[in-house]
Amino acid sequence: MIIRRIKLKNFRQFKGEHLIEFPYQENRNVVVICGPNTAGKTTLIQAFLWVLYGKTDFKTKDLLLNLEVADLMMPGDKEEVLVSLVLVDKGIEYTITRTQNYICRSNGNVVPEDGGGRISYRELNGNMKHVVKQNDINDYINRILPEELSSYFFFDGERISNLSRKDKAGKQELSSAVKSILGLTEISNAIEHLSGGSKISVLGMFRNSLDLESENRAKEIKKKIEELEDERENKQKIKADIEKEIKKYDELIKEIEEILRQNEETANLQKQIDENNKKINLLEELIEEKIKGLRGRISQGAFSYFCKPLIEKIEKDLKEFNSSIDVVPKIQAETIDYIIKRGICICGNEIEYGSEVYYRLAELKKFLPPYYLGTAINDFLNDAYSFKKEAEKFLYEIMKMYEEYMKKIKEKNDSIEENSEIMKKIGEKKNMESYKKDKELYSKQKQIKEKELIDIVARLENINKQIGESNKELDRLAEKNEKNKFIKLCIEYAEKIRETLEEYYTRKENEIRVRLNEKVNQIFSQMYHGEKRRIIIDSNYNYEIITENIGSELSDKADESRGLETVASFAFISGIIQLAKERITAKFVNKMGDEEEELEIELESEPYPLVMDAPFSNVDEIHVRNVSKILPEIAEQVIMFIMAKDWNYAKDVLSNKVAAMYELKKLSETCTVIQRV
Amino acid sequence: MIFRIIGLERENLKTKKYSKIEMAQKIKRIIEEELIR
Repeated sequence: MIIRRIKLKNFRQFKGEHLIEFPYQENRNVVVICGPNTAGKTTLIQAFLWVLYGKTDFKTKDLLLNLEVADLMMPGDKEEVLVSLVLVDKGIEYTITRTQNYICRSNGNVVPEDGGGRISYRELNGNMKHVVKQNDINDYINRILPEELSSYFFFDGERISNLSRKDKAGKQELSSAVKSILGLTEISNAIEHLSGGSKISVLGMFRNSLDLESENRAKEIKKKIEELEDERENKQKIKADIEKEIKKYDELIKEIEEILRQNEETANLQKQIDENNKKINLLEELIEEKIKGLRGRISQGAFSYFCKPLIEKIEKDLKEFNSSIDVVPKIQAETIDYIIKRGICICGNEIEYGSEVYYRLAELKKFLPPYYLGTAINDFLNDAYSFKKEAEKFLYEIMKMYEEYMKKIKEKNDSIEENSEIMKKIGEKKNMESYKKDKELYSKQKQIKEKELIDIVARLENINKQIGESNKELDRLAEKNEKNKFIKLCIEYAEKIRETLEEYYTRKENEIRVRLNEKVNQIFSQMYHGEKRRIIIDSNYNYEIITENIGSELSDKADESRGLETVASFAFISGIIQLAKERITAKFVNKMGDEEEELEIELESEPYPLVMDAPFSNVDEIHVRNVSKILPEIAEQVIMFIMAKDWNYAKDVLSNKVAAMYELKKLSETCTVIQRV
Repeated sequence: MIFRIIGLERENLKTKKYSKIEMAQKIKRIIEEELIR
C-alpha cells in the first residue's frame, strides 16, 4: 500500500482546500511534513484515520469543520468538510473520500448534517473507473488496511513509546496484528472456521448433519426384519404342514369317496344288514314277550296238564264204581225238598205228606247229594272232565305259543343267518357308514385346516408387506447411512486439516517469532547506539529490553528511558514490516489416511507505509539519525510529521531519501496552510 | 483441499465478504466437493 495524495477541505484548522502529494520512488520513499506544535501534524494523522474509518481521536468530535468557516456561516448556510485519499494497493488505485456537511441553524448553531464515504478505484494500467457500492465501502477499506492494524501504521510518538506497555487487550491486538501482518491470520481463521462454535464451524456443521437417529432406526428395523423373517420362516413351515395336512385330508376324502363309489352295492347290503338288525331287535323283543306268555301260561295251566293222567285214571275207576249204583243225575236233595214243599210234582200230581209219592220222593233223597256218594262222584267226574278239557286246552295253547315262539326264533335266526351271508358278501370291508363318518370328520378337519391356512396366508402376506416396507425404509436409511459415512469421512478430513493447520500454525508462529526476534534485534542494534542491549519477544509478542552484561535475574531490571523504549518500538515495528515484506513460504506435510501430500503455501503479506507523528520526540540526535537511516530502508513508504528541531538531526541522513517536503504554516489558532518546500 | 481453503480464507481476509458461518459453510462445501471428486 502506497499513499499517493491526500486532499483536505475545511478539515479542522486546514481552512479551504489543501492537497498533499506523496511522490514515491523506490529510493526516495520519504515525505516529510514539518511544523511546529499545534500546527496540525496530529490533525493530519487524524485526517488519514477519518477518511479511512470515519473515526477520530478529537475531543470535539462533532465539529470537524474549520472554526473560521463555521464562524462565518449564517443561518441556513451549509458547508462541507472533505478528506480525499488516493492510494495504491496491489496494483489498484483507490480514491477514498469522506465528507461531512454542516448546517447553521436559525439560532446560529452549526451542527453536522448528512455525510458519508465513497470510494472509487481503477487499475493502474487502465482508465476504467469503478465506483464501489455504498454497502461495500468498509469491505474495500478493510481489504486495503484492516482497521485493527491501522494504529500500527498511523501512529504518533506517544503511541510508539507505549507499544511495549500495552495492557492485556492491547497485547492481544498486537499479537493478532503481527499475525495478520505476517499472513498467519488466514491460517488461524481457517482453524477457527473448521473447529470454532458447534453450529458455526465446519466440524460442528458436519457433526450436526450426522443423522445418528437414522442409524439407530436402521438397527431397530434390521432387528424387526430379522424377527419378521424368523416369523415368516416359522409360518411358512406351519403353512407347509397345514397344506400337507389338507392334502392328506383331501387324499383321505378322495379315498373314502372312491371306496364309497366302488361299494355302492355293499352299501345297499349294509343297509339290508341294518334293516335285518332292526328286525332282529324287534324279533328279540317279541321272543321275549312270547317267553313271558309261555311262562305265564305254564304257571297257570301246567298243574291241570300234569294232573291229567291221574284224573283219567281216577275217572275210569269212579265210572266203574258209579255204574254199580243208581244215580239220579243232576238232582239235589234240596230239589226234592223243594218239590215236596211245593206239594206238586214235576209230573203235576199232588204230593201229600205221608203219601206214597211223598215217601217215594223221601226215599229218593237217599240217593241224592249231599247225602249220596254217587252224586258226589258224578260231580267229581264232571269236574274231572272240565279239568281234562282244561289240560287239553293248555296243551294246545302251549303248543301254539311255542310254535309262535319258535317261529320268531326261526325268523330271528334267519335274519342273523342272512346278515351273516351278507357280511360274507361284504367280506372284510368296513361299514360304509363309518367311511361316511370318517369323510365328514376329515372334511371338518380339512375345513379347520383351511381356515388356519387362510389365517396363516393372511399373516404371511402381512409379514411380507411389513418386510417390504421395512426394507424400503432401510434403503432410505441406508442412503442416509451412506450420507453419514460420507459425513464421517468429511469430519475425518476436516479434523486432519485442522490438525495439520494447527501444527503448521504453531510451528510457523514460533518460526516467525524467532525470525522477528532476529530482525528486531538486528534493526535494534543498528538503531541503538548503546551496547549489549537486546530485545526479547515472548509468545504474546510482548517485548522487553534486556541488558546482556548483567545477571539474568537482573537483566530486565535495567532502567529504560522513554528514548530507549521509542527506539525499541521502532525496531519492533520495523522488524514486523520487514518480515511482512519478505515472502513467507509455508511448507507442510499433510497426511490423509494412506495419502501424503506436501503442501507449500506462500503466505500473503503486503508492504505497508509508516505514517508517523512526531516520531523523534523522545529520542536523542544519534537515535534520530539511526532510526531515520533505517526506516526508509525497511518501510515501503515513510511519511513523517516532524518538528523542525528533530528534522535538523534527521535531514543529514534522510535528505537523499526525501521525495517531497511540506511545511505547515500556522496562520492562526484556527488556520494552517500547507506549503511544499 | 488445504490450498482451496487457505485461498478462500485469503480472499475473505481481503474482502471480508463472508461471515464466520458463511465461511464455515464454504469450507464445508470445499471438503465435500474434494471428497466427492
